[in-house]
Amino acid sequence: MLRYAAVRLAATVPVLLGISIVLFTMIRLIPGDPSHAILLSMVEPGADISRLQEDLATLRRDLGLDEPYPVQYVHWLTSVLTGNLGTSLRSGAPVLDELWMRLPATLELAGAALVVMVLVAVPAGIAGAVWHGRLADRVARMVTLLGVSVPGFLLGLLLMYGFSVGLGWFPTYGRGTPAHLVLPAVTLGLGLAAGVSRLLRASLLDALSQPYVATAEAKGLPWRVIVLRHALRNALLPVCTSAGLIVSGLLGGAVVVETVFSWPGIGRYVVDSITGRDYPVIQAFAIAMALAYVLINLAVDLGYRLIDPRVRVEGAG
Amino acid sequence: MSRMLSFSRAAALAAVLSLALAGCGGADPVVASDEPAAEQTLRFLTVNMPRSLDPVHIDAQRILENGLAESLVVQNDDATLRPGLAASWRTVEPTVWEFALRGGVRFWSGAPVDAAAVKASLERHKAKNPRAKSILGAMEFTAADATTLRVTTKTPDPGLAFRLTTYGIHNAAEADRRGDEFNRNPDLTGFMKPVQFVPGETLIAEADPDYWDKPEGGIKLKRIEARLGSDPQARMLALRSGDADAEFNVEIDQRLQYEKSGTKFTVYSPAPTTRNIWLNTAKVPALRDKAVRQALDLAADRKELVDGLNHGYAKAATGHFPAGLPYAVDSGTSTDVAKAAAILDAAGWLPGPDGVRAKDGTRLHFKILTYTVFQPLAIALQSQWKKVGISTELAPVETTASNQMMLDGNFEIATYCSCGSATGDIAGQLRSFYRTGVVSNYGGYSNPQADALIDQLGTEFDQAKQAELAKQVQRILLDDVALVYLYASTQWGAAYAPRVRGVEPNLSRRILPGMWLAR
Repeated sequence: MLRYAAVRLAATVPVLLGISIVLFTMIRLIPGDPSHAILLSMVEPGADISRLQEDLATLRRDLGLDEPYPVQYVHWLTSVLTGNLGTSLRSGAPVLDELWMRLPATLELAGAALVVMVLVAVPAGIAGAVWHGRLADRVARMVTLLGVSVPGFLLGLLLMYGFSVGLGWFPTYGRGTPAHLVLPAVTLGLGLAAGVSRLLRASLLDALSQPYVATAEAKGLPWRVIVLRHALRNALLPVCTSAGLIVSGLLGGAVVVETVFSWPGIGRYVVDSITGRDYPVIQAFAIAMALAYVLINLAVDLGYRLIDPRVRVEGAG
Repeated sequence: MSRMLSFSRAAALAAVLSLALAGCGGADPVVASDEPAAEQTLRFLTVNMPRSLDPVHIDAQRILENGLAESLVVQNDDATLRPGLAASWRTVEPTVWEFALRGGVRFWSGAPVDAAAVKASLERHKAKNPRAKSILGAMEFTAADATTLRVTTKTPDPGLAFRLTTYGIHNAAEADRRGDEFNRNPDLTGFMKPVQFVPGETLIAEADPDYWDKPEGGIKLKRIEARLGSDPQARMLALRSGDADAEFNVEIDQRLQYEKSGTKFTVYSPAPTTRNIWLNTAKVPALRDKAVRQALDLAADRKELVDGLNHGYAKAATGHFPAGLPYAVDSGTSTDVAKAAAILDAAGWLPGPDGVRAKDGTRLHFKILTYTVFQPLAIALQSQWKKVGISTELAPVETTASNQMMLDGNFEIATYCSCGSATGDIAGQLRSFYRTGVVSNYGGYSNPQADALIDQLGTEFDQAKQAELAKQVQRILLDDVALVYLYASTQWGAAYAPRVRGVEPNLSRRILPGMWLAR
């Protein structure tokens, strides 16, 4: 198992290198570079921009953007290999500091959203499968339909409208207390729960139709034990396989939720950096995400063994 | 199965509606009394959060509005000027200005704000501020005496005082000493001193008891809490819930809702800017035909754009500058679809079988470069121009990409902002968009007569003569149909909850020492 994990980890190095080259090239192919974003965004109305060409050239030189791409890439890679992810072109602060500063907020939101997701998706999935076609299934499907069909930004605004403006229960923005976390976590968690619940319901329905369930029933095992200890365990495998999708859903959804609720997390910061062509931030984030995906998938592969001992990972000995 | 699906959909719809209804019954902040509140903390949301508190930083000019930094001269919303750290200023000769500094002003560190310190601050802007290099590069600063700063320019510059409104005066010596720390811990002169700062996210500041210009009765506002609020609807809900006291980026849809909410929110809509359409005459041969430009101009239905797209919160444009300013022209193009069609007929652009006009094998078909903010406008124009046989297709891109495409001249027609606005530098603004060969003259417009007048305007100090010259330039632009001028509207208004007092309508986005919160 350890050897397998080590091999998989070693294989991430060329993957990360490849991603860095592709990304470095791609973001420079998009029209507009940081000098445009800096000098042309938020220009005061009425400002004299007749000497823009001169200012753009000066800024490009100051930022090192006038150097050939391979030279810029080598500078960046050398810097990364020494543990320096670069400096944000827009704030002038180290990228690592900026990401690190926002990481707790993102983890807090992601963690709370995961809890909401599990609390909604697992009971809804089980209820839908066990009582399929009955009232419980309908209610579960209603909840998931709500999560799927209402876009995150709309759900967030509706929750804000109902629970903040209307009832005054929760704050509309910011971070700091558990109350601040409720609406963003519910918004993000409900969206994710929809897909997971549908997946779990289908998977559990399939598991409940397997012969071993009939055998367990014949042996007189209580239905609750059959569902929760036998069928559910098998039904969770496809859900675990989609962990990567859940993480991407968390990050993708977090951008919207962070925007609506002014949540000071990484998602919104990165989107802002993409709009502003803050190359060092985009590159650092992409590498970090690639690494996270590799590690999550490795953890999922290894986790299969815990959920289903029949699974043997190839090369794990 | 279909019954189950209907049930689920109906239930989902019911849930969404009940949430919305819960909000409808919600309580907006009650009208405040005239007694000061016990807690004097102003909370506001804005999309313009600084990423650094060092005034030379690219977007730190926002800290001027938050009460942290101050400039020599302050620009009002209507682009007139008022004294800042300079009590007065005058032109000694066309290329020499003198600014009389206020006495007794000190930086937060206690260092005096004298002419030498101001000179060092502006020199640091010149060296490090990407927005200042070309503008301040043409100026030489001299400390004539302790309270007189002399500014010398290479050529006469009537707009010089206006140009100095965006540079926060800071202690340059302290900046050198503190290094990167100055981004978070600057040495400035404003009445609010930062106590917590997360770049681009949060700024919390507290009133400085030693501020040099305390209002009568002292500074009541004790603290500000500024946060990034990117979503316009969420910002409005934050005000309606009472979580925030102000927001500074009110869009038209939200302005409507503020007015309908039943609470006396005050929404200021300062400094309208004209929304115009760029025509790339340098690249597109058909647009070099004045008849085509005239047809585009005449077929644009300004009333529909004002009443429909802008819900009435706009006025038809009369020229580059918004109507009502002393240097704006009084009347512009009146929409006339029949006349547009007649002009095209006379010029030989005749409708083809598909209704699109053509001449010598060239069809009147254009791509409209647009981006999110202006996309509804582009869609509206598409249908208006279709009525006279001009076909268009939308080419939407994101904002930063559009910047480069405009600079490269990589467009045919564009909704990109030319944004004529109130200004203290009339010549600079006209030069930026219409002077031959200037990079921000994106469509390549050129008229030697307009060039000569813009150059003359650039050296004219007399305001009445400036206004007359600006009108002459605009009449030429209108006659040439250099751009299609549509309407003037405020991009972002400022909204305040009823309990916020002391707002100055002509500095509507500024946090000022005279502001306070009522109970």
